[in-house]
Amino acid sequence: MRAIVPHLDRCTGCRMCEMACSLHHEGLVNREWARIRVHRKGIEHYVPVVCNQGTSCDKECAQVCPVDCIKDVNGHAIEVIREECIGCGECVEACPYNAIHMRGDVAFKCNLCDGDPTCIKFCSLEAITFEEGIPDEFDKAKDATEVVR
Amino acid sequence: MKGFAGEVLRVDLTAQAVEKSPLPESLVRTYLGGTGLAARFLYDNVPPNADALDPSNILILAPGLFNGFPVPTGGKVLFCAKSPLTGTIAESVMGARLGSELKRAGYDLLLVSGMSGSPRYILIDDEDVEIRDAGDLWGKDTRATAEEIRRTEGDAVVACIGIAGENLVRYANIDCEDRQSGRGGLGAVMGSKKLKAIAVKGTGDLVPHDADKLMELCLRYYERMIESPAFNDDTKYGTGEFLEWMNSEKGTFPTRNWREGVFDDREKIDPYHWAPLYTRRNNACLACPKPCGRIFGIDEGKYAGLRIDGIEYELLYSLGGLCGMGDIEELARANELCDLHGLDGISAGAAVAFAMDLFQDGILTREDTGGLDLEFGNPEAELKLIEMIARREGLGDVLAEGVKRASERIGKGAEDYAVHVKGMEPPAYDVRGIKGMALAFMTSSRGACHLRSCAYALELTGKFWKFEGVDRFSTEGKGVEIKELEDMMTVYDVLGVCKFSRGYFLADGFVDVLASVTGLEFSESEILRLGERINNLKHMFNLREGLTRDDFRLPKRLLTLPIPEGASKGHVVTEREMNKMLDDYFEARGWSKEGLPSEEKTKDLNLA
Repeated sequence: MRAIVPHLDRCTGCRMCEMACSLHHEGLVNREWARIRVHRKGIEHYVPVVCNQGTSCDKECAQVCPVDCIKDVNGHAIEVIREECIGCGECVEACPYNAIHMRGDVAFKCNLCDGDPTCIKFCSLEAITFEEGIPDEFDKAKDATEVVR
Repeated sequence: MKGFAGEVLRVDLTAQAVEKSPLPESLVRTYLGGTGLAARFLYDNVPPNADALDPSNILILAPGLFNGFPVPTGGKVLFCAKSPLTGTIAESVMGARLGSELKRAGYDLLLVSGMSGSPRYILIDDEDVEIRDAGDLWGKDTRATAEEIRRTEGDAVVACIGIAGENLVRYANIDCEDRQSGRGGLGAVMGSKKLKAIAVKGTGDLVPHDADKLMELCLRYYERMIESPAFNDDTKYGTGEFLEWMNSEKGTFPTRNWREGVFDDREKIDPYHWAPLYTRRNNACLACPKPCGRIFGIDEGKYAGLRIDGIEYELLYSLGGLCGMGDIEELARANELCDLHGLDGISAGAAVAFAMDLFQDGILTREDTGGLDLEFGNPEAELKLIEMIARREGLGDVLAEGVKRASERIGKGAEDYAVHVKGMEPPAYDVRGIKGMALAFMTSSRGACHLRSCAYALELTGKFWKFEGVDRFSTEGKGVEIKELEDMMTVYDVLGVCKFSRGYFLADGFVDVLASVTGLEFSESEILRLGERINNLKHMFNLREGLTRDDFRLPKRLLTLPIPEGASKGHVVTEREMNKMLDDYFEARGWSKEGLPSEEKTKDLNLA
């Protein structure tokens, strides 16, 4: 399964991915609505954080969802079915990568824009790439996220 | 109004009061945002002839209109106030996410007035605005201050001053995540108000007029930028990429306090030498897909662990060539000191170079320098003097006033060594060999500046935008040229777009993106007219503060000392050339010989 893979050493902190993501999905710009988020770790580096679509985790979000509304609908990404979400927040707690979010009373996460991710189109130095998941890269991102959380 | 946040936030530090009001709709169409709104509010709210360090001066934080949207390179934000260095309007643009964060918190503009009795910082957390005690932060460097506030307040974007701002160094800057609002002493204005920092957390939505159209345009300009031949050079070598060209091809790299136009010891400060050795990664401004910013790191030796954002072209000049100093690691350390203490690296380097020049000619002696061997090219002396400036110790206290005031205090002919316009130390363009740029130094509303016009690019390459065949040694046509460029570049500062995008992103693109963000329809000529209006307003502010034609003069050195060697050898700006270009510029502006706008002009621009 393909996923958006972060490369910490290349991220410049421009946040085009965050802005383009929320503009694409919500028609507005707000980091709080972005599925991909960039964290700043001092002057040392930036960490792009986004769902690995189960390539590097046990799909904890889907496992804990009490109404089973987090699933792979069309074969390329794990999605939150917004109409069915009850807003309990269990998935947000369970995600080891901090890659699923709540706003108001719905959870939302990266669905790879139906197979053609918008964020990738705006990453000029390829700090995120769309490819077969590379667990090492995800682990690095996870470790770095812990530091900035 | 789509694209806008909708409110103006005012914080009065004397009364410790916060006030919010709607952004007046009457100002939207005429000033839009960024430098436009900043200039309007400065003109209307600062009492005439207020001292820049008086509580009545107002510090304005103005996001560019495109801040927060994924418009490529549209993340520029600025601070504005009356300048303690020049007495004119000061504004300084930086590439930080402070602007988008302020907009998302709900404000198109922040105005800070008054003065607190003890150190404070302002916390803006969406609609909650608090003035908090900063007693423990006073005396801390910029990085430690931001870290400390983020420890307490969580994921806030922090703009702050270092000790230079606290000590009212007249060219202290404001730092935000290792980027600086550098020029004109805005950090000293913050210091005078006892304001250590502004921390912003914004979580609101920014809603564009037409999201689909905006996405299409963002992608179009993004692709244009990353496909351009400059992409590779920008991201690999940054702003210093053309340093060698400025030296060997053009002979216009100001060296040893403008005694020379070519730096002989430049090999090690050329990014083609140091970038492969020291650059750790690219570091972008908000929304920039072609970052010229890079993190410079040293891992061994006496500066092991040093990390700075840079080193930018301007500081390779001011802390390098201008001081005759060609050691890249020492230069990096000087840059780091400026960043941590919150000093404008251009003015700081220029002040050190000025003192070195006086030392060489015996006007300053070891007695004056506190025992420092202030020779050109001596890094220990340079670093020590930067510290002394930030702390206002000894000679540093004099130099903290800027070269103009310092030269008056030192006397003994020191005025002839002080290179400035309106009190502002110039950037890295030896204008004796770039005549249009000399005029741009003269006319810039904030004192000697390369960015109000960006004329250097046109002058040095001969073509840009609608201009072609421009001769850098000629004074013909320069009045119209600089007027048109200034009006155009002002639009960049209204929208918050980087001027390094001028190769791909001009008025035609701006009006399209503006319409998709706000729904406001502008023609190209209307948007340039808006630039002209703002430049006239800034000039009217300066006139009100006592500016006269004399303040447009170049310093004596640039009028009398020809560049001695290199591709611009023998060139100087004569008194006659200076006056001719200024006459032409005033005429192009519709101003009198004394620089006064006619009644027709002000009426025509809705400024009467």
